[in-house]
Amino acid sequence: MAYRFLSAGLWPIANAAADYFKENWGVSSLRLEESICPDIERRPTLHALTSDGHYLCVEVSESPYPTGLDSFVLDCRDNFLPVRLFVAIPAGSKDSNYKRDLDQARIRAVGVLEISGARVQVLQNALSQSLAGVRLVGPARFPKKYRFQLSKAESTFRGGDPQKGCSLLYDEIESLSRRVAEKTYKKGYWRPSAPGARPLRIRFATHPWQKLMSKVVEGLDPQRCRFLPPDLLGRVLGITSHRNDSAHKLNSLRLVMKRDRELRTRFESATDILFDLVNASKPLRV
Amino acid sequence: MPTEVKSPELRHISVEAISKNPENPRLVFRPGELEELLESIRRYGVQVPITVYHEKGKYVLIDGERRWRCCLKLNRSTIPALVQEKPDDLTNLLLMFNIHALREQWDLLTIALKLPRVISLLTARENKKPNERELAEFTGLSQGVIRRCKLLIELPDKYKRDILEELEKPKPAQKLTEDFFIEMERSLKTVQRAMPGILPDKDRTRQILIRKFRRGIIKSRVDFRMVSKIARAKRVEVEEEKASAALRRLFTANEYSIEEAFADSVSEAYSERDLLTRVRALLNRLNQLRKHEIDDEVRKWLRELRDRVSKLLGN
Repeated sequence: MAYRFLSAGLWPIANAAADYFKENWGVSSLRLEESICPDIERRPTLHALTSDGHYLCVEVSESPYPTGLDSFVLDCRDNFLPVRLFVAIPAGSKDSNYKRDLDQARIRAVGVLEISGARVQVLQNALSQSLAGVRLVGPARFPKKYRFQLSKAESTFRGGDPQKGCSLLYDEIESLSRRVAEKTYKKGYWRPSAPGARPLRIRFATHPWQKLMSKVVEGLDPQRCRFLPPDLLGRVLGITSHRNDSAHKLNSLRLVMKRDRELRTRFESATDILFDLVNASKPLRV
Repeated sequence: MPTEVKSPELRHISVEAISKNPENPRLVFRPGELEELLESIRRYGVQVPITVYHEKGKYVLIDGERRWRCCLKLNRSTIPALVQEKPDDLTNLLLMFNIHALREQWDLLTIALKLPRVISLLTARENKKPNERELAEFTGLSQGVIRRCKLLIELPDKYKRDILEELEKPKPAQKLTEDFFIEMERSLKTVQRAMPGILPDKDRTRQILIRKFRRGIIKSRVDFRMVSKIARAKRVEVEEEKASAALRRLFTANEYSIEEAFADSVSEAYSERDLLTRVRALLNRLNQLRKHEIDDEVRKWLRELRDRVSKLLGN
């Protein structure tokens, strides 16, 4: 294989990385130093399209996170490109910044392969940049009881199962909003039923979530329950339709990009809703 | 005799329409340095146009291979370029040499590997082999650089390959550098000239010295200058037998270092010569001084010197 940018001393590393992905990922044709998209400023040393509609990109370098890679990572995230990016480095680096660069790679969800001859060691795996670029939840800003589940949601989302990640967040929002609905009802914050109307019979724990939230939006009296703004309840109602979106296996780049773009927005918005709801419902002690 | 080239024309040309110049002496592109240039071009663009000539629908690089490579990597569609007429083979090479003589220097070995071709093309054009001065004029290199290159050209191919491998590494990580080989070759040449019988197998000696350097027995490449001094023992009136014994031992696979060989053979004689040179220089200076020209500080040290000399001479 002939490279136009890569220094000749690193060619064996690139070739060993190519062999590794052919053998272990079943990638058939790896392209050499070609553009993956006109909007992306850097051409990775190797790239291929995988069967699950993602780009596999390999950058060969002496450092686990070369200086210019930040712009590539940002471009991928901004363009919602589902790129799994690996950096392949020669084993036995004596670079004083090795540990710092390895950390940078981990933080930016970039995989690292260490190569010695034909031996390839995966130091860390790569996540899809279109998902890894999601705004972080920051579990520490939530009350302790939510933190474990939120960390799990975040790692599930970034780890390649965005539907499941969103679903874990929706679980929390649903559970909290049901408790809020029940408590506000019991405390008499809802508008009284019209004379002669049938009293509300509702099982707060099991009633379909969307219907329950519609009733809350209709029934809750903002004059009596001033700490729960109607627009927040509307936002909760707005996400109920996505609650049971099922995950289908996607195999085209276009569909993966579309899904990741939507789910990243949903995940970030669900995080904000949960945060606002947790804070707004504090007086209810739910 | 001088080579003239018409003024080039500035254009933005497609990065993909450019190909490398097969005559480019530069062979080594270190990753760290490329990465730095890449980042600079990403931020500020190509500030200095590359130079190319047009041939059969393609552009061939004369200058700017690293900038061109970076633009490819950065997915740029065009690059600013000065487009020249196609030069003849000799002008093509000389242009590349002259452009680089004025800027960052190439690795010496890569120049050395191309010099024989320059010499052969110049010989064909001028009907005579160029001397060092002429070669310097044509290539823009200094005569010193050309002499150093010649030492590298004469190295067996395996060492040239070793140097090329070493050059791929970042500069601070390079150990067996061009300078190491130049210092070693110079000293071995001096030994060959001054004590012809001592190096029956020069290549074996090289291997032993390289091994000693790798193991730290030879600490620095400049230690080889001491080898030259040992070989020129006659100049400081040291018995040749003593110096050659030290060199023979040094050129044998053992733990014997250059410093030890120097100390065992000529160190004292060179120190003595050094002392003599200094004393003579001081005497010369003192002879030029008049009494009223010396101040208290100088007077104090001269007295100290007089006492010390008297003590040494036993007066």
